[in-house]
Amino acid sequence: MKRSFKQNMIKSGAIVSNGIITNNPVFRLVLGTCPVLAVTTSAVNGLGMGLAATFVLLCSNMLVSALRRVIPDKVRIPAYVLIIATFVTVVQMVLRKFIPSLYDSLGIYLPLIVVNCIILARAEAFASTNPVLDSALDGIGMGLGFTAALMLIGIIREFFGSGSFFFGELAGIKMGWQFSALSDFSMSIFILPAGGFLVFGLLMAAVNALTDYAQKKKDKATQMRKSEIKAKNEIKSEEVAL
Amino acid sequence: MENYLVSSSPHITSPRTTRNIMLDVIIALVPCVIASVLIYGLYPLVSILLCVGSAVFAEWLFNLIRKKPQTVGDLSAVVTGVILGLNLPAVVPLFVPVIGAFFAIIIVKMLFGGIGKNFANPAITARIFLVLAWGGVMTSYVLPINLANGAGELVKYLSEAFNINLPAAITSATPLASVKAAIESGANPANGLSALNMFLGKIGGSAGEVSTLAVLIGGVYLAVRKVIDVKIPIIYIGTTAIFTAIFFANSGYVGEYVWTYMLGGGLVFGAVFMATDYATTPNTNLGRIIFACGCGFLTVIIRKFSTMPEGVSFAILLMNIVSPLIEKIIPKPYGHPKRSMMDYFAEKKAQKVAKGGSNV
Amino acid sequence: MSNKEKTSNMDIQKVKVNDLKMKEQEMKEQELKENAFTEQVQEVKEKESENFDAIDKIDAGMANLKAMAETKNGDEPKRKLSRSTRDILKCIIVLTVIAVFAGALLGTINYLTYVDADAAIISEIASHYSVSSELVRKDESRIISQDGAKSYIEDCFVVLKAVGSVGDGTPSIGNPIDVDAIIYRAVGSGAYSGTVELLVFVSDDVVTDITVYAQEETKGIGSKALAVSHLSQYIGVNLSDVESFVKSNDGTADSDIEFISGATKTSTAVNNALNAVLYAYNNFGGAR
Repeated sequence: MKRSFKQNMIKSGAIVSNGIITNNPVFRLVLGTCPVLAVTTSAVNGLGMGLAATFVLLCSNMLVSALRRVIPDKVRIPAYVLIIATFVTVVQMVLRKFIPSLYDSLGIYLPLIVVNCIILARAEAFASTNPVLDSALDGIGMGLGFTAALMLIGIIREFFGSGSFFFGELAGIKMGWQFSALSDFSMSIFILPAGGFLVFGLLMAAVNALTDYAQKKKDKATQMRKSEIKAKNEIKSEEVAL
Repeated sequence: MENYLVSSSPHITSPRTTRNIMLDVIIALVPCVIASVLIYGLYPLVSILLCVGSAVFAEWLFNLIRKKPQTVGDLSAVVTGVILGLNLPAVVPLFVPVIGAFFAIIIVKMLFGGIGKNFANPAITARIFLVLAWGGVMTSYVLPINLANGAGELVKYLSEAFNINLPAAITSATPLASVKAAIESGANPANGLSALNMFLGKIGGSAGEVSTLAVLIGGVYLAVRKVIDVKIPIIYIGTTAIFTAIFFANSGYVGEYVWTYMLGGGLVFGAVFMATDYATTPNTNLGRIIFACGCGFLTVIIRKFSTMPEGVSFAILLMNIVSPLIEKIIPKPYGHPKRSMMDYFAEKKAQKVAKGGSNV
Repeated sequence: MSNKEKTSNMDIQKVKVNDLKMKEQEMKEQELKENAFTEQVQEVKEKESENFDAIDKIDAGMANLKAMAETKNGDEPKRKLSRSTRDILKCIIVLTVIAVFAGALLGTINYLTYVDADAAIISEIASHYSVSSELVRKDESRIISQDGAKSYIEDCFVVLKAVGSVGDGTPSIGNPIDVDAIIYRAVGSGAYSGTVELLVFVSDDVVTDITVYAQEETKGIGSKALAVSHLSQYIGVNLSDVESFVKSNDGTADSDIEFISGATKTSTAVNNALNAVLYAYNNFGGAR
């Protein structure tokens, strides 16, 4: 049976939001931690890395999904890696040509997107069993979740470590602010890997606390609704009894 | 049932409370505080008081926000504050102690569940955090003051309270920094160093670590009051000496390296006050020996091979992290027959033969 | 309400109930039909997905028949490919096709996005001297380093004098008189982390400027030795007058460099890089 347009929209929304919030690859699935810790020394780096990974995720998910009936089961992993590596190289070459500053600051972590767990995991777990459109949506959702997490970590590390906010240049556009008053007091630990772990851990704790809180609230609300319905039913039955 | 307290054995009542022990530690730290004032003037006292105040405030605030019973009364925050203050360079901008104390109490101690549940020593972790955060500030040490010039010397450095870049005229290299330079150049490490000055603390360095004499007085007090296990500091300092001798055996200045490493930096202070922390060191006797040996080994490794001149705090932190693993090495319970390695292999061999293995 | 009326009401209700039951029945039947239909669709779909297998089977059958026919004809029986060989072949073919497409795509994109590695540095130099980038050339002949030295010259560029300013026509690299400035990319070893790469601008024997090209020193500690205030010690030094730069706190001679305490390693790396420049400059044959 064909899904109606509305159902389609709801399902698409669910797939995208699954990647961004419920199953956020960084804070909930804890995948791809290596680039997360390494490149998030500034928010611009985080954004660039996130967008690069999103592009790769989107393309590889779509292609893997389109070829899911063609690729034999035995060689699926090499085939996925081949597909992912191709798109990563494309991203690398494009960045080198058009955004060399970002290319330099991402360094080795750009080619390492190939072995980023998120991309391989989504290809294996989602794209290989779902239609092309859903896989594309999943790629966008997961990619945006990854980007958001990287940017959040990057903003915090950059502010405390370099005393600036979103400072840098992306695709020729200068952005952000450098607070000269803070530069003497900036804490270089936040630029070092140790600070990366620190911020990562604290943010994960915060995200977990927030989701726990939201879950509790939700549970409470459903309980309330249930008891309300129960009360209503009781009133009804009382009325009937009367 | 709710009114009963359930706890595992042994059930011993003791007059010693956390507050009691912490009070002893504070008393033992007093000689170091006095020494730092005599060596660097009143500035270290200001930063120590700031550390203590911030630490206590941080713990009080955390408990208030989390709606937990107040634990400030056990004085452990005061001890953390004093030790952190003594670990800082004598003259630091005044926001450094505040941030350090907040980090020590909130992130290292309270977030893990408060006293006894922290996996690393709060003061040491905070010091490392500060070293990595403001490397420049945390590695510029001032020259000792000269009290012979009058009491005015005591307030000499107070004007630098918010100066993040100390003028070169009042800074000095620590003995360990010159030893580090000697390692690279192959010169005599003891050149220009006086063992007596280093023992008394008339050198550049962290506020409380410089005077070995003051630390030893405190250490003896703690040992007499049985607050600390003397094994740890003695083995720690001993292994440091042994490994120094081993690693510098080819340098031609073994003796010089050993005594500069003993007296320079925070070795004695770390061994007495920080490596003996109850919560972050193993509980078993064997575990404590391994812990102390590991600290000594890592200290020498870091001092000799890394780019940093000092390695005590990193060594203790690393061993803190592996203490839960060390505690798993439990000696055979009482009543079990002792087995030597040879017995063990003989047994294995016998089992193999019994199984019909022909590869003997 | 009378009794009769009641019964009639009940009748009506009964009828209604019957109606409802009928309708339910119809709906159930409809559902069953739909279910059957969807099942059929499902089956067809499954069959479709098995098409590959089916094709395989048909192929195998045909091959079998062929082989049987051939044996009947009296020829030697040909060995047909076993199932596992076919699987492996299929794997190889799929992977090869993907790889070929990937290679073609990458080749095209590489062609479209080719960057000259020196372009960025040349444009930087051109903007430093505010000349057109055509006057900046790479000069391999000036890359001279001591054998086995850890600090060396990675790259060298020269800025030529503008056309017309030289007596005989267009300026060339080979003629030292035509060279307005030399820019060395020097790698200094011994830094706190990795190496320090500096761009050293030299014109008329004198160091006119130094910029940091690449570094990984710790911010706030090592970076002090890469600040302009420290590097300016080298600026203005006449390279032909100096033997080598040495660490010294007197700072009287040009060659005396005061190191930054706490950043000794970075200071050393900077000094090593400058000494490599010194070596390259003073050992360039026929330049001066």
